[in-house]
Order: sequence, then C-alpha cells, then structure tokens
Amino acid sequence: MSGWSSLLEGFAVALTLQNLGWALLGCTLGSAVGVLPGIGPALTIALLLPVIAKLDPTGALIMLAGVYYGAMFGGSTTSILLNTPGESASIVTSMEGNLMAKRGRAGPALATAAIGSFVAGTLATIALTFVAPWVVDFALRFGPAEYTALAVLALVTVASVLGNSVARGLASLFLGVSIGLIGIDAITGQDRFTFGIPELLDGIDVVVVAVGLFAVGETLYLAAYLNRRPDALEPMAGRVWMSRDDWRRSWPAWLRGAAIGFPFGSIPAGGAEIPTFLSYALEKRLTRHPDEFGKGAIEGVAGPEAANNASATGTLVPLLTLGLPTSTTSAIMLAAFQQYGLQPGPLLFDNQPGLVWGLIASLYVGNVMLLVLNLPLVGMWVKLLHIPRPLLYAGILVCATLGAYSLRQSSFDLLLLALVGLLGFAMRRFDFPVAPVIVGMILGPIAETQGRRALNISQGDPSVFVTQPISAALLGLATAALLLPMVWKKGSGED
Amino acid sequence: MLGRVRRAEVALSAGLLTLSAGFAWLVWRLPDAPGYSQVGPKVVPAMAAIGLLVASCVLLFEAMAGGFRGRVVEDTDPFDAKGFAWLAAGLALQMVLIQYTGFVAAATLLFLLTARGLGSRRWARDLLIGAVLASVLYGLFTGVLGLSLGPSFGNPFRSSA
Repeated sequence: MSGWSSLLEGFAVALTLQNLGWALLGCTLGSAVGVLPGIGPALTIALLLPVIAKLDPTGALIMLAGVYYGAMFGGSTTSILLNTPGESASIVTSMEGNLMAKRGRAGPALATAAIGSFVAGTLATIALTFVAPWVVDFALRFGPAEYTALAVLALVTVASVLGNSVARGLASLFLGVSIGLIGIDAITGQDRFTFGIPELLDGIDVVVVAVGLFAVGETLYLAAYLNRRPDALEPMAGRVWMSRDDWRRSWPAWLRGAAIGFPFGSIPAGGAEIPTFLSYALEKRLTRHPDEFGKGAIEGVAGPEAANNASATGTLVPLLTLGLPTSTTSAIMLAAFQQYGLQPGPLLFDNQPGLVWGLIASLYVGNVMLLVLNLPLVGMWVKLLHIPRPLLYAGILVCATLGAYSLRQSSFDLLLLALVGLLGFAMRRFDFPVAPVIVGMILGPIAETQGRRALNISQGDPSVFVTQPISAALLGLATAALLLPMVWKKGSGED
Repeated sequence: MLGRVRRAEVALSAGLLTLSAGFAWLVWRLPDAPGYSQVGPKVVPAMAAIGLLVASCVLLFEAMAGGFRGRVVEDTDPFDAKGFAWLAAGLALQMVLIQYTGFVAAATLLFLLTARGLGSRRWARDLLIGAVLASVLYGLFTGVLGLSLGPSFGNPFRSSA
C-alpha cells in the first residue's frame, strides 16, 4: 500500500464540491466554538453526533475533522486575548500569549499561533500520511491479546499521566469504565447495572456523558463559584502581522513544536498537554531572549501552539489505524465512526479507502482553509468574545439539552444529563480529570471485548497476555506508566 | 478541627466509597453467563469495582490525612447557592415541562433561568433571545436535518412538523 497513490485517491474524494463544503462548514464551526470560552472540540463533536446521524459518513466525518482542527486554531485566540484556556492543551499558549497581548502585541501573538498551527498541522498530516500505512501493516499482525494490551496501555496513560493525582485519575477512569459497562453485554447478552430501567438497556450514550460533564458541569461551576468574576478581555492591539524578527524567532519554534507534538500524539501518552509543556521548556532553554520569557516571548507561543496542533493530528494515527482513542476528542470521534457502523482499524483502510484517505486529504485542505479563516478574519472571531456570559452559557445549556433530548425524545436522558452535570461539577471542584471518564467509557468495553476474545482463543489461559512479546511489552509499559508517576511524585513531594 | 474544604473532601471520598461498595455488591449479584463463555460478563465489572474501591479508599485516606494530594485549588468566590439554584431549577423544570409544552417553550425557560443564574437581569431580552434560539434550533433539527424532537405541542412549528 503506497501512501502517495492512496493520498491522491483521497484528494479526489476531498476535493469534490460537496466535501469541500463540509470541510469549510466544519472549519468555520470549529473556529467559532474554539473561540468561545467554555466550548472545546470534544463538546462540539459530541453535540454534533446526533445532528449528523442521517448524513453521508464521509462528508460528516470530514466536517468533524474540520471542527477538531478549527477548535484548536480558535482556542489559541481565546487563550491569548482572554487568558481562559479552553482546554488543558492551550494552558501554555495562554501563559506567554496573554502576556504578549497585555504588552500590546496581541496581533503578532495571534499570527504566530495561527501560522504555527498551520505549519505544524500540515507537517503532522504529512507524517500521518506516511506513518499510517506502516502502522496498518504492522497492526495486521495484532490479535485480540495485543489489542487488549494496547487498550489497557491507553487507559492507564490517560488516567495516570493527566491531572495532578494518580488516585483521582484512576477514580475517574474506573467511574468511566463502569458507565461504559451499563447495558447489555455484547458477548453473552446479560444486562448489567440497568436496575430494571428499560432506557438503560442500550447503555448511556456518550453524548449525554460528554455534554453533561463539559457543558452542564462547567456552567454549574461557573454559576456557583465564578459568577462575579469579570472577564479581562485584552484589546486586539497591533497589526495581525509579524515583523522580520518575529518570523526569525518563530519558525524554528514551529518546527521543533511539530517534532515534539506529533510523536506524543501518536502514542498513548496521555494527550496533548505534555508536549506543549515540553515545547515550552525547550524554547525557554534555547532562546536568545531569556529575559522575555515570563513577559511575553513569541517563541513561548509559537512552539507550544505548534506542538498542540501536531499532537492533535498525531492522535489520528492510533484512532484511524488501530481504533484506539488516546484523548477525549478522539474518543468521541471514535463514537462518531461507530455511529455509522464503521470500525476504525487496519480493515477500514482496506474496506473504505475512499473514506479514510478522503478524511486524511481533507486535513491538508482544512489546514489551508483555517489559515485563511483565522488570519485575515481574526477580528470577526474576536467579536464572538463580546457575547455576554449569561447569554453564551444559557445558549450552551440549551444546545446541551437539545443534543441529549434528540437522542430518544426522552426526559430520562435529560435527567441523566443533569446527574452527569452534577458529577462534572463535583469533579471540577475537587480537581478530578474528566478525560479518563470519557476515554474509559469508550475504551473500557473495547478492552473487555478484545480481552474476552483473547481468552476464548487461549481456552481461558490468562498467560496469553504475557507470553506474546508485543502484548507483554505493552502491558509492561502500562505498569510503568502507572507506577512511575507515583514514585516520581513521592520523590519530588518530600522536599 | 477540619477545614471546610477538607470536610468536603472527606464527604466526597466517603460518598465515592459508598458508591463503589454498592457497585461491588451489584457486580456480586450479577447472574453468571447464560451461555458458554470462558470469561463471563462479571470479570471486567469486578475489576472496575475493585479499582474504584481501592481508589476511593486512597482518596478517603488522603482527605483524612491532610487533604487530597496535589489538588489545584482555584481562586474562587464562596459558593453562590442562588446562582446554582437558578440553574438547577431551569434543568429540573425543563425535564418535567418538555413532555407537556414541547422543546421550544421548555428550552426558552431553561435559557431564561440560566441567564438569570449567571447574573443577567434583563428578562425581556433573555426571553426574546431564548425563544428565537430555541425556535431556530427546533426548525433546523426537524425541518432541515430531518431529526425528531418529539411532539411539539404549544410551539410555533406544530403545523409544519
């Protein structure tokens, strides 16, 4: 399978007028919601799941990819001007970026973030084009034991690496897995944890959980604890263009950010937060202007923003080639595939090459669209930040309940939504990470099915997971990912 | 003497422990597989239940012994019970009313109460924006996307839906 010829076929799909339209719609929508504080890519894609149920899968998935990318672009605008990062991966951008804006350099900060996102996104998409067929070839040798081990590794890393405490991460993870197990067991038909409620037989929809945790939980938290805080919006000062010096300092940072971000995204390593911090640390070490760090250094925006986007693209490698979600957004993307009865993995590349390669080709197209949408038109997106907070969040709640209600037109889903919202509120208050709940709920049942399949093949002998080298190595990594943060935190906590 | 935050952490982890104990009991009560299977439907739930039990025990211990480890406490205002109550009322009312009034009216009410909970006092403006938003969304879903939002008694799209 050669990357180039497949990619050309993909462009034939992506460049049809219809699919260009979907990509543009997705990019526009993504930029808008990325700019709005409180709405990230995961929430938007979850809200769109019921909306796209009856659309053509290829167009719909191209649109979702546009939303994913667009929200990453738009999110940097909010971080820089408002200093409220929409998601953990833009925390670093908001550090130096907001300081630049405070010094009247909002324009160059926005420009380096947008161009850096474009450069890193495109480089990472090129890497995806070449890495994906290679991983697919490799993955064809995987059996259920290897898939189980991979899923366990992804579950452990998302719980232990993210967040500030392994105990709280694991509590979130097991809560998520338990939610995912509600409903009828796929293998035996046994109903589990349904309490005799017929609505629970189908399980709890990921839309309800994602929207409840992000939209309802967040709005409740805002009303209860941050109500009287005014937003500090920095004015859009300065031209949205960079000086020659800005360019000279930005481009190495973009390339380094992309080089750090893509590998981190494509392995199960806990998501996009770590590469952004690594990129920031690296730029701080290499810069010729160390005095500017902490006051608004352009490298501190360029590097992490590039790393953020490259790792977002990187998460598509395990998602498309193995069906393995390693972040919240890719978990919800997987739910979108499943909604159409599509199972990402090596077979999807064989069965639906038009869809997979069309999707990958659309990422190139989307990056160009986003650069155009975000550089000259950034002023338009900034206007969205002037929507009064009560109206914005009231609108988010209305959309949230619309998404949940449209699943089955049942008040029961609204009740579940409110309960999950309360859970999200408590998790936010007590600093529990949310990503393990979503990833656990999607990936837990996959791990269970694969694990039971592996044990059925081995006639119930559990040593199958440790006697096969790939599976054993992956489980060894999972154990290390679980234990190392504990040891490390214990060591650093003593001083 | 425990601080207010510490007491909340103890209560939360005790609640989580109770929840996971109940969950473990449910797993224990699950019937064995009706058909032949090497690994029944109880194994993974049991692992999740044990994991949750262990995690909540650790958290309870942490809370009792000085507070959750590495918790980032955001600088916030004291708990605003009124704001929280407006939102809770909006969600609860929508849940009940939606069966009788349809989506548009119930969602407009939710919009109004949420905006009030977040500090808006401009009832008329909020009512208007909420009603327009809910109607547009309803029209988009049922008209353009061909999705169902249930019987819509009492909303302007009844005749066309």
